[in-house]
Amino acid sequence: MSPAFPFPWSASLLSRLEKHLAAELFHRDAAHDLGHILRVARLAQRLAKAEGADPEVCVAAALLHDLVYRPKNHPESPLTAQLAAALVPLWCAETAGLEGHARAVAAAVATHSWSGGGTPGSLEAAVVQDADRLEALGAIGVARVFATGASFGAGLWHPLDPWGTARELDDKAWSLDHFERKLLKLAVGMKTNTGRELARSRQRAMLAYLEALRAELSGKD
Amino acid sequence: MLNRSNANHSLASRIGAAETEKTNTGRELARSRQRAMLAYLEALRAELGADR
Repeated sequence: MSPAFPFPWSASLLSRLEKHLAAELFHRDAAHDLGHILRVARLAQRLAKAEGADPEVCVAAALLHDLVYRPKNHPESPLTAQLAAALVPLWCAETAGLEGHARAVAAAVATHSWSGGGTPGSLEAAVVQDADRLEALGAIGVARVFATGASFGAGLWHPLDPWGTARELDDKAWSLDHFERKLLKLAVGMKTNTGRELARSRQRAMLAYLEALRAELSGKD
Repeated sequence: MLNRSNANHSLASRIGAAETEKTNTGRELARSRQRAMLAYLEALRAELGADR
């Protein structure tokens, strides 16, 4: 499968990225692997085209957005966007064709993450943030939330109170709690019109999954 | 463009798990759960295909 990004620098950047991922200190969970990075980049390309953003900046930033990985229970996990952004100028300087985009790409990487809490300062940064958040929604998001939870030892859901009706939600302990704690809040925070539209569609898929799960867990299927 | 209806029919035929249940109630529940699973797979297929 070829990711087929139409930029002169994309093949060399991807090749370098693959080597970087293979040599990392921390083993990435299945939700933050190369497949995730490529899907975010394809979404960023799609959103850039629809929104009139610079596609090179959007795709480069999407490819580099998870350059630094820490497991979700690692103390540096909320800092990974900033750590990745700090590496971007060097990566751009060493990638022929990307030298002039370093500042814009680094800015988009710096503000993409939910836990980092950054606010996008450009259309390109908004596109990259939306693209990454769309990956947390829909059928893909369902697969990823359980994969991430499993990576740090969270259970699927509380065995006696899966929907948290009589307890505090705890998404460190139960992956299902993460839907209400974070995932179902993402659609309203989308920064672009195209992102909002796609988020609504993906949220419907996610809600259909939750409805099926609720029926099965309550013995009403 | 994928024909989703054909794709799901083919997937359902390949899975076929619902028809191997030994009791009527088991078969009925399995069909219902298979429908939920196929709806999920249809959404996943759309998402994975849409950004190509």
